[in-house]
Amino acid sequence: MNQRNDSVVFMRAKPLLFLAPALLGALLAVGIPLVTLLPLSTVEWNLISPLDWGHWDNFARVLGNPQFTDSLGTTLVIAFCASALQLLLGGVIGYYLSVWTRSMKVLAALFLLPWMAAPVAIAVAWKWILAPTGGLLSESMGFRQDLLTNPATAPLVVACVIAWAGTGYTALFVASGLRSIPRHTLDAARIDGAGPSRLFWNIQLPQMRRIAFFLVVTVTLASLNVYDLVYVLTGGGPSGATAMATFTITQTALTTFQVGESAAMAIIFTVVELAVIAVEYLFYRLLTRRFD
Amino acid sequence: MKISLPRMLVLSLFLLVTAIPLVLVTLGAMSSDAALSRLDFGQASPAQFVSNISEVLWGPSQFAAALGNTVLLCVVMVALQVPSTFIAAYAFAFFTFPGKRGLYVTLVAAYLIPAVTTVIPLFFVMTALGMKGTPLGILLPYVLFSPYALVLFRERFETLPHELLDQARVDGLGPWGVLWHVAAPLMKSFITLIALVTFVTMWNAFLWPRLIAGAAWPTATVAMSSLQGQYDSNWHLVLSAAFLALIPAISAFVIVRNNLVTTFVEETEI
Repeated sequence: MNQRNDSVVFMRAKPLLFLAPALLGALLAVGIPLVTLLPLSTVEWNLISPLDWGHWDNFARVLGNPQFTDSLGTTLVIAFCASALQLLLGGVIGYYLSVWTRSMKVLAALFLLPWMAAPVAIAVAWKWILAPTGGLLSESMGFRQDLLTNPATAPLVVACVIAWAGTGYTALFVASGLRSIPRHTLDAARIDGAGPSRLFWNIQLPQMRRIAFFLVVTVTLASLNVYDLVYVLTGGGPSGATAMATFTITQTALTTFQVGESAAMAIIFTVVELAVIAVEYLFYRLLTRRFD
Repeated sequence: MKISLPRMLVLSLFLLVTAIPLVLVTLGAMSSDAALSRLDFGQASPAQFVSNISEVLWGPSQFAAALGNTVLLCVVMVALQVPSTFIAAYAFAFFTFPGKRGLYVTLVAAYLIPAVTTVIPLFFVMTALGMKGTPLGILLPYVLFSPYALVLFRERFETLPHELLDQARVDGLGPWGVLWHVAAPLMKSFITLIALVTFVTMWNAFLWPRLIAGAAWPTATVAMSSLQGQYDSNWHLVLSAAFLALIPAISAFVIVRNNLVTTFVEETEI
C-alpha cells in the first residue's frame, strides 16, 4: 500500500450514512452466511427430513471421506500448477512488456481479454478444441486424442486453461510495477556498473515485492476457487480427477443433499485456503526481511 | 526503445496463444454445422454468422431471454454496488471515527473467504426467504458491497491532493459536497473502470446464479452451460453462444483500448 497521508479532511463528519449501504451489503454477502455456516455444519438434514442439530461428528465424517480429501488434494495440485504457471509466464511477459511503445498498449489490452472473458465461454472454446471426438485437435490430427478424458492429463489441462485466462492480467500488473520504479534509481545502479541481472535481483525485484505478494495471493485465491471452468470443461471428471473442492462442496449440498456435511466441508476448505495464504505471507516476510 | 529478439519472440508467441482460441470461436460462430465438422473454415461467412446467432437467440434455447436477464442484472449491479462502495471508501479515506481500522480490515478480509463457503448457507437463507429462482435472489446478497472495489477506491482516494479537498471544505462544502463536486470529478475515469469491472464480473458470474436461479431464471452463462450440455455435437451453435457471451469483454477492449490500459496501469497503485 502507498504511504498513508494522515491529514484527515473531515474530523467530525458522521460516517454512518456513508457506510450504512456497504455495511448492509457486507452483512448480506458475508456476515449472515458465515454466522449460519457453523450451526449448519452440525445438521443432519437432506432438505426433506426434519432439521436435526448438534451433529459435530459431521467434521470427522467429512475428513474420513476420501471423496472430499481427494478433492482437497486435487484442488491444491491444480491450483499450485495453475498459479505457478501463471505467475512465471506473467512475470516473464510482464518483464518484456514493461518497456512498451504506444502500439504495445493495444497489445496489452488484448492480453487482458481472456481475463475479462466469461470463464464459461472460455471453457466452451477449449472444450471444443480439446474434445476427444468432434474436437478441433482430434479432427485436424485425424486421430482421437484424450487429453480431457485421461485422468492423468485432465488436471494439467485444467491448470493450463486457468493459467491461459489469467496470465495477461498478471503480466500487466508486473509491467506496471516495473514501470513505477523511478528511472533515476535504475540509472544510478547502471552507473555503478550493475548489469541487467544484478539490476533485476537487487533493484527491480525488491522494489516489486509488494506487487509480487499481491499477485501471488490474488492468483492463488482465484485458482483455489475455480468452479465454472471445471464445471464446463470436465464436469469434475474423468472419474473425479478434476473434482475441485468447490465442485465437491456444491455437489454434496445440492445433488446428494447432505447439507451438514457440505457446510463442514466448506469450513475445512476455508481453513485450508487461509492456511495457504498464511504460508505465503510467512514466506513473503522471510524473503523480504532484509528490506524492511 | 530498441526491440530485442527474445522480447519480440516471447510477446508474439503469447499474442498467438492468447488470440488463436478467440479467433477460432469467432470462426466457429461463422460456420455451418457441416463446414465446422469438416473444419472447413473457408466456408465461414457473415451470413452464416447471422443465421447461427438468430438460431441461438430465438431458437429452442431461448438465449435472447437469458442475455436480457444478464443485462438487467449487470445494470442494477453497476447502479447500486459502485456508488454504495464508493461512498464507503470515501468515509474510510477521509473520516476519523472509532473502530475505523478494525472495520476496514474486517471488510477487506471478506475477500479471503472462498465464494463457495458463503454460497452454501446463502442458498438456504435465500430459499427460506422465497427468493429461489428469482433475479432478486441473485442480486440481493451482492448488490451493495464489493471488497475488491472498496480497496481500489480507497487506495485511489488516498492519492487525491488533500489540499484541494481541504480547501473545498474551508470554502464551505460539506462531506457530500466535497465528494460530489471535488472528489468524484477527479476520479471519473477510475470510477468508469470500476463500473466496467463490476459489469463484466456480474456478466461472467456462474456459481451463484446457477445455484439460486438455475433454469428458472437463467443468466447467459447458465444458459450457455446447459446449451453446451444439450448439443455436445452442435458446436456451431455453442460457439455462437460463446461469442455472444464474449461481447462485453471484446467491446470493453475495443471502446477503451488505450484508456483501459492507461487507467489500469497508471492509476492503480497498490
